[in-house]
Amino acid sequence: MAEKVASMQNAAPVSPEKFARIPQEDKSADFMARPKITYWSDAWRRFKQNKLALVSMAILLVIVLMVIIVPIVSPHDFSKGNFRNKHAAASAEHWFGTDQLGRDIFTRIFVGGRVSIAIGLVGALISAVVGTIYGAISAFAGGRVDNLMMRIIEILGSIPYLLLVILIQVYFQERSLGTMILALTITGWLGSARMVRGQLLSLKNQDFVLAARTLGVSSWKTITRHLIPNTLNIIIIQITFDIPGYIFSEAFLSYLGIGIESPMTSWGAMASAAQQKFLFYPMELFYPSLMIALTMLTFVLMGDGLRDALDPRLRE
Amino acid sequence: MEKQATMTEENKTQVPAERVLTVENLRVSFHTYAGEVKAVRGVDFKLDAGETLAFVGESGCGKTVTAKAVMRLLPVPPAEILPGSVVNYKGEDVLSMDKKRLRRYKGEDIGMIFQDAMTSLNPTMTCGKQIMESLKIHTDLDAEGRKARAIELLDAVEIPEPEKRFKQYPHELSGGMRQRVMIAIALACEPTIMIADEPTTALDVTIQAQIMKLLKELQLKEHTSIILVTHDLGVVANFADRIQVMYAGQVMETGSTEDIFKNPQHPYTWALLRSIPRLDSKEKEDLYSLGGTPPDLILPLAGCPFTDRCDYAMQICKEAMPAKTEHGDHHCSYCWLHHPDAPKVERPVGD
Amino acid sequence: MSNMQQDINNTQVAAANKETKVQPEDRKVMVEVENLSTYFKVGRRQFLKAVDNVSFKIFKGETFGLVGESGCGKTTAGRTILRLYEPTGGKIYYDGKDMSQVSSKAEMKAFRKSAQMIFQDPYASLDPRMTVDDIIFEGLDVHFPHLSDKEKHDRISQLLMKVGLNSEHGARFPHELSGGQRQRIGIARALAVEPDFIVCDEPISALDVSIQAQIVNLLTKLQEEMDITYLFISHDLSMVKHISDRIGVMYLGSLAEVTTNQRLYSKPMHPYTQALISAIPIPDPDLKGSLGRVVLEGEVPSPINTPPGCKFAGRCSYCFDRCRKETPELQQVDEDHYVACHLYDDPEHLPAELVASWRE
Repeated sequence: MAEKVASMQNAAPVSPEKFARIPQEDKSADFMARPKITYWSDAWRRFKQNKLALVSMAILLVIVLMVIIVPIVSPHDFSKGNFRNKHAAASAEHWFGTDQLGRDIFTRIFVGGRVSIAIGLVGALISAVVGTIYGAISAFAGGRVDNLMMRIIEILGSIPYLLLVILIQVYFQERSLGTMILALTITGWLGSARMVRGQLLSLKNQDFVLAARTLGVSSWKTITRHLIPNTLNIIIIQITFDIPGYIFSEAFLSYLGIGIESPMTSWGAMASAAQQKFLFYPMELFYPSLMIALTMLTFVLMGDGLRDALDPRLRE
Repeated sequence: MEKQATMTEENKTQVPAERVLTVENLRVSFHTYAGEVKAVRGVDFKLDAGETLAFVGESGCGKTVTAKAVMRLLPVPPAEILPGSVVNYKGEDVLSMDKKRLRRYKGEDIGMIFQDAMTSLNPTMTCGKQIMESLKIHTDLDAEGRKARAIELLDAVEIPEPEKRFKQYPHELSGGMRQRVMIAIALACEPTIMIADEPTTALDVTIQAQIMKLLKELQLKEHTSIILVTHDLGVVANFADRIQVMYAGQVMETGSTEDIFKNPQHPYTWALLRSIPRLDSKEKEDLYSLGGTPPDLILPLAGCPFTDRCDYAMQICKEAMPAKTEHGDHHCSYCWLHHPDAPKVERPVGD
Repeated sequence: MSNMQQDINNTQVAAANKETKVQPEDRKVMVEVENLSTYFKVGRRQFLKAVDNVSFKIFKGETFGLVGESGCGKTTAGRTILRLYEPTGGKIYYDGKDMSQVSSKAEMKAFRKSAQMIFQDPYASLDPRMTVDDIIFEGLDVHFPHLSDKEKHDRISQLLMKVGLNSEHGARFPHELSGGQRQRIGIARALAVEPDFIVCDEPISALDVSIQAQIVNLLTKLQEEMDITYLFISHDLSMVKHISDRIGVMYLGSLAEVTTNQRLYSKPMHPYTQALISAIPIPDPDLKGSLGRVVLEGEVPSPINTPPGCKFAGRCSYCFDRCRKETPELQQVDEDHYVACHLYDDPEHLPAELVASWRE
């Protein structure tokens, strides 16, 4: 070999056995150095880094627990009032005071919360399921079927939902939780369907889906094994953003007086009742408004954290 | 101590051209969930005006990270340029530049060409606008002047019908044309140094040859220094003046192109040279293949990082990183085989 | 001519002489493509002719290379042969059976088991939500449903070993692996169903040069062990030449030249083949001046509404009147050598320059 000029020659002598060859089999060049990590554990790690989202999730958990527990353990009946104790201020007995019929606001807040949160959860879940199925069929069928299904979505989307709500209430002759959910979800799934379709269309042309076709995997298994799992993150994000949307829609309708019917109540209905005497008893409006705002804000913040954690485009 | 010795020695000898870039002991780490990834582990190099230096190595060897660190393009965090690293541009400390200086530095002093022109160009802006954007930041030309200059640049990178292309969007152009637009943007402010990160990897061989030829011509015309980052030694043979072979964030061998091709000293260089497919090979004999995968840089790596894949690996390679061995002017390598007590091996490639 | 080139010539001649002469008729045809066309509709009465009237044969046990620049239709051709795209016209005979008409489920399933594919992008071709085990399991699940779970998992381990990985990699997700490792998973997935024929669609172009050799050697080894026929699609002529027995050169949806790998290098007849060969960088610092060797100017024109005549006419330095009017047919000019070029119809037109470059 060529003449060596510097450094190594002056290096300290090394004992000869150090220069023994390492046998080929001892080499482990395909060794995996990093700990095993699944998509979901990685996402959870990322979610935990977002403190705001974590706090939001904690607040939400507390609200949900209270909504479940408070109506059960409360000494007051949410629907029975005491006329001699109308518009009472906060006290040891009535933590948030009483309303215009003398009912305990604290209890009513969490009974109303049941309705609001139930509409949010059930509504978002229904639209996710319907939207996913519809979007998946549309994307996977393609061509004319896809075209027709998209036109249907556009037509449904052009109907004002207030009109739908009123029509459904007139048709069923009642204003209950069921009709509310029906009225809101009848057009609520359109967004999810569009999004799932878009995601599936881009996934459909991915090489791994083509690989499944080459292997002869059936369409059904391709959808359930490849397409849906790869869309799940987006569906989850959509659900967390849909929930506050439904909660607000319900509050809005109840506030207009075409929402849930008395004696059942919701945050919107409570706010609606309180706004008539808002100037005298502002706190009665404050509590339900606070709950609506807090729930919506925490859901949105948590959704933001989830999106950052789940969106594969942000993964290195 | 030994680094200083070689430094002074080099200073005493000739300084042929103006030195534009000096990088010493560059160390870059990424902080990830699994720990600290030491992507660049002490890289030194120098670049003279008008010179072409190639960084060659497999993906993940730190060649791109080194180039981006020099250009201060790494996102901090997760990246961190560790203290003790020196990046010196014409006597100026790059690592301590303030925001204002850095803005001028990126563009006027160093321009960059990326591998994937499609994702590096803005899809919503016409090609002409993107060139003018850069001119707006770095020159005081008025709108008319910028447009004229942009068309001139498109012409300089041999794009046919530059006036027409000026108004087109990136997606309307072919891969080769997009790469030319990228070069035009990098050239816009006549940078002293151009960093080309795998500029032809995504292109067909015929287009690849066109782009490399264009780069060489532009370099000769503008007297630009080029840092070419690539995984393919075959591409650099008739393009680069000097080659720096990198592996696992470290330099394995540095030398002139002749040194590397004709008198390679490091087993990794040998492996890279042997894996270049040749058209003149005989019937289906087995190609030389370098087994395994480069080490994950999250590992501490006590000895030579190439040990696990090296055909000549010895016990000592596992235990300590070899010192530098000089084989002549500006030609050096890091390998235990050059220790005076080491067994002599026959080189499988070179003259 | 430099010394080096002389050496090459000598070895070439020697190799060519040693070449065993197997008569083409003796070999069993695995895949035969006859006047295959695949068009995509891109607008009103506008068609992108991705594959336009292409015919070739792939013999059993050989590797047939398909080279060309991006957009030349080589990938579409490969996918059409596997019936992932519907052919617009022409026939595809697989093992003697006309696959272009088959639509019965059972026959299609048998075809899917027998013909497999390895993809270009090792990142996009593996489902990011599945472990390596699940990815390989999928094919076994479809075509070997009678195996017990344990047998299937034993097979997965064997397959991983076969492609140079170990069962530890099975529990990993694709994003944890390097490009070369992922490509080996892609190969293991294709092998799981014990195919006879594999379309390798640019399996190495996304990988580092050092890793490319690993994959090519692995493919060669598997071919010897399992007697698989390959259709190897790539834009890298030097790798294609290395792995293939015969090579087809494609340009803008048509075949320009089909011949054996040695002949393609020693006697490239089509001007386009010549240009492709000359564009490959020569890894020799002594040939610094050769950077100016670009023979081929311009880029591949759009495949939509191509003008009549030879598709290469616009970039060909030997082009004459007839090339612009008449489309050349692929015709046999020598044993196992087919060319679609008007230059060979009339020896008068044959430029001396072209003949001089032959290394024969």
